Formats: sequence, C-alpha cells, structure tokens
Amino acid sequence: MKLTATVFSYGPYLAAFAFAGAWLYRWGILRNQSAAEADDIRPEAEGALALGFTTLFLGHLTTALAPGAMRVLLADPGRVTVIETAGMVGALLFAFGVGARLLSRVRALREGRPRQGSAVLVLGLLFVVCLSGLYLTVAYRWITVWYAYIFAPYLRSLAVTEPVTASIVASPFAVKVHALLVMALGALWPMAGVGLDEIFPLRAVARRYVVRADARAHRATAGAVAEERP
Amino acid sequence: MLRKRNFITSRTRWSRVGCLLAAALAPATAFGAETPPDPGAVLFSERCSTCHNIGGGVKVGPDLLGLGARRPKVWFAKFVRGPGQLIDAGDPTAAALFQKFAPVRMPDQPLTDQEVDAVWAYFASCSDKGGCQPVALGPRWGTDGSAEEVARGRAIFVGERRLQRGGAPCFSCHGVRGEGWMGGGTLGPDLTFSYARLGEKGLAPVLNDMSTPVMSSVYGDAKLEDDEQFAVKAYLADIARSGAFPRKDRDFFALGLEGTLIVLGAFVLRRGPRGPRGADDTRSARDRDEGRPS
Repeated sequence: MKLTATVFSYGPYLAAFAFAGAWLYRWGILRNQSAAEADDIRPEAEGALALGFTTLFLGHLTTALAPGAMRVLLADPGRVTVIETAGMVGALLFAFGVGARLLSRVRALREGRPRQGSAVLVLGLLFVVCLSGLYLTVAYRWITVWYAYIFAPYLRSLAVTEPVTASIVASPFAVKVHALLVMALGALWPMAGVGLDEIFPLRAVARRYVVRADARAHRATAGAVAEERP
Repeated sequence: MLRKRNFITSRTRWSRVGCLLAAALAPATAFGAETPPDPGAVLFSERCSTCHNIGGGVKVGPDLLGLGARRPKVWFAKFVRGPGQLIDAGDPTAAALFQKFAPVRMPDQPLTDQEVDAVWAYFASCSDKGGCQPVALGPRWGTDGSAEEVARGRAIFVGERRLQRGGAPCFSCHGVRGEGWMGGGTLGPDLTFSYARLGEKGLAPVLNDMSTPVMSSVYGDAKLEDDEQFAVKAYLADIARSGAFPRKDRDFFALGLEGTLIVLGAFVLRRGPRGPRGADDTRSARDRDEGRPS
C-alpha cells in the first residue's frame, strides 16, 4: 500500500483518537483550564463568521450525507455556478471572521494574557484550512461537484470503517493538503482552550434567532400594554 | 418404484434432448439475427455516400432519390463507370451535371454489371421508401453522429442527463466552448478541440477505459455505456468543427470577492452607527475584567 493511501486510510481514525485523547487530557489533567478571554471582534466580523460557518457547514454536511440529492441538484451548469459562488462567499466570510478572531488572540498573546499560545496555534491552523479550501475553490472548479463524486464516497467509506482511498489518492496535491490540515485541526482542537462557540458559532447562530424572536414578542407585549393605558 | 424411476429417466432424457436441440438451434438463431447487409447499400456507403445523399438533399453531388425515374439504367451504367468520357463525348445530361456541380468532377467507378444491378436496385428501393441513410461499415466515428446524438452528448457532458452507471458529468472537471456562464471545471483540460487533437483513435480509448488516474478512480465502477461514449464523442466532434477558441472564463474569485463585500457592507449598514452587541462597551476584555472606564 502506498504511503498516501496509508495516510488516508488510517489518518482520520488517528485524528479521532488524538481528539479524544486531547479532550481527556484537557478535562482530566488540566481541569479544563481555558485560555483567558480575548477582546471581542467587530460585529460585522462576528456576523461574517456566523454566516460563513453556516454556509460551509450546511454545504459540507449536506453533500456528505446526501451525495445523490446533491448530484441531482448540481446537474445543471447554472445551478452549479450559483451554489459554487455561494460557497465561495461563505468561505471568504468565514476566513474574514476567523482572521478577526486570530488577530484578537494574537493581541491577547502580546499583552501577555495566560494560555494564548495554543489558541493562536489552533486558530492559525483553522485559518490555513480556510485558505486552502479557498484555493481549491478557485483553482479547481467545480469543487462542489467533484466533492459529491470524489470526497463524499471517501467520507462514507470512512464511516463504515472500510476506507476507499483511490479517488483521494488520485486527487490534486492541494486536496490532500486540505484534508490533512482538517485532520490535524480535529486532533489539536481540544488543546486550543477556547470555547467551541468562538469558532463554530452554532449556539450564537441559534441565539440570534431566539433573541430576535424574543425581542419581537417583547415589543408586541409592550405595545399592547401601552394601548391598554388610558 | 419402477414406474417412478422410469418417469424420472424419461424426464431426464427429454430434458437432454431439449438441451441438445437448443444448443443446435442457438447458433442458427444467432446467425439468423444478423441478416447480411444489402450489397447495394454497402456499395453506396463505401463508394457514393461521401458525395451523395438519397433523400437527404444535395451534398457534393446531386441527391440520388428517384434516380430510376430520371435516368435510364444503361445511361447510369455508362456514366458511373466513366463520367469523364461521357462528358467529353458531348452527352448533354452529363455536361449539364458537370456544369452544375463544377469544379468537382466525379471519379470513375469501375463497377461490374452485378454491382451496377445491386446499386440500381438499392436506389429503387430507397426511392420507394423516400430515402436511405448509409449503412454502418464498422465502429461509428464521432463525426457520424446525428443532431439528436450530438444533443444527447451535450446533455451527458453538462450533467443534464445522468450517466447510466452514475458517474460524474464531464462538466465538473472539463470545460468546452460556450457551456455555462462561468465555463466548465478546471480540474481537467478544456475539451473544445479534444476531438481535433486526439482524433477518433485517440479519444475513443480514453472514453472507453477512463485511463487517467483521477478518471479511473472516479469512474471505476461507473464507466460510460457504449451509446453514452458515442454521444459524448459526437458532441466533442461537433464542437471541434468550428475553429473558434473558447472565451476566457470570467474571474470566479473576483465574483466571490464582490459577493463577500456586498454581504459585509450589508452587515455594516444594518448595524448603523452603534452595533447591536457590545457596541456601547468599547473597552477591551482586560479593561472590562479590571473595571476600568472606557
């Protein structure tokens, strides 16, 4: 078996074990010591992070879980262009948001706040993952289509613990680098000592809508009370 | 018991006879299915179809539909064997044909009497049917594709028509002139002139074997069916006919960048002069922690 095939056969499982090990180390030995808080980023960067993350998360997850449906959706050059452009805008927004978070952490490191080094390292790695994804999108069109045909079968084969690496081994070098960086990020993530919300703002995205709904309800109640007053 | 054994024996014997009969008849049926092509049709396809149609209109020479009604067979036999001699001899019909289709002069066709009979009979039968297409004399070339096959090849190429074995559409990795607003994929080369560059003999094995490393992995269990290969080949042959180069693709990165700036601008406009979250507290985290004023 070639070295590349070996790496892509065992690498993802090793990354998963490393993730679990690092998580246990952080919780068990370090008692979940997290990095000191950094400055807030600008609201537009936060918005870009949330929107970019949502776009990329949905795109990657939908294609991995339902490649057949995605293939049907992508069976038209016009639709491919729209989806690919939306993905690229999402990637640029996410890179902008992650870059802002990274800068904030670098400033905190310079100010000498505790436990910032590992956070900067992991955020830097995420930023490079983002840039490599952007490079792939620009250099090898249409990545969404061949993600559905090349990458999704590989991910599904990993899920059933029977890795089929032929397609990923034959892919361009940049694809392999992107995949390896994602594995490294997964393995190192628990060492960052930053909340998951800082980068993958799932709760923040949900909170936006919850807060907005609450605000609407509050306004409606206040309006009703004002009308009742003589 | 004896009767039962006899019954089994007779049934086995009959089944053996049946098998033998089937084996004996199978080749005959198979041969019977392939009726030998009409010798006149073969002759027409080999010698005439390059310049003549039967019912398809004027090509390089005249349409041969209804030839039997227009000319006598004797004249046809003389003309087809030596058109130049007939023109030089001052035959008015031959001279009129030469003037009409000048400067092309039909080459001599040294046909035997049997061959003249066969091709004359073929013309008659085609005229009764309203026209004929040349018969296939071997594997079809991409250039032989009909308009429907070219359209089918295009649909397969861009993914509008799914491949029967579920393979990826060519468009995801390759581009061709005039397809898609942004052009095709860039993982593989542009295929606008692939037919002109590789030719039938170069392109056919690529479509059949999918022998490049990426293609062999993507199409491992999903190779193109024969009809799909031909349709794609016909489409590529058709698109290679025009010598126009593909236009330069629009800058995809610039498009993405513009979209991003629009979204960020919308965020800024929506936020207004003071942001919705934490904008009224512009202190740094350390200042907040230590209770310093802004």
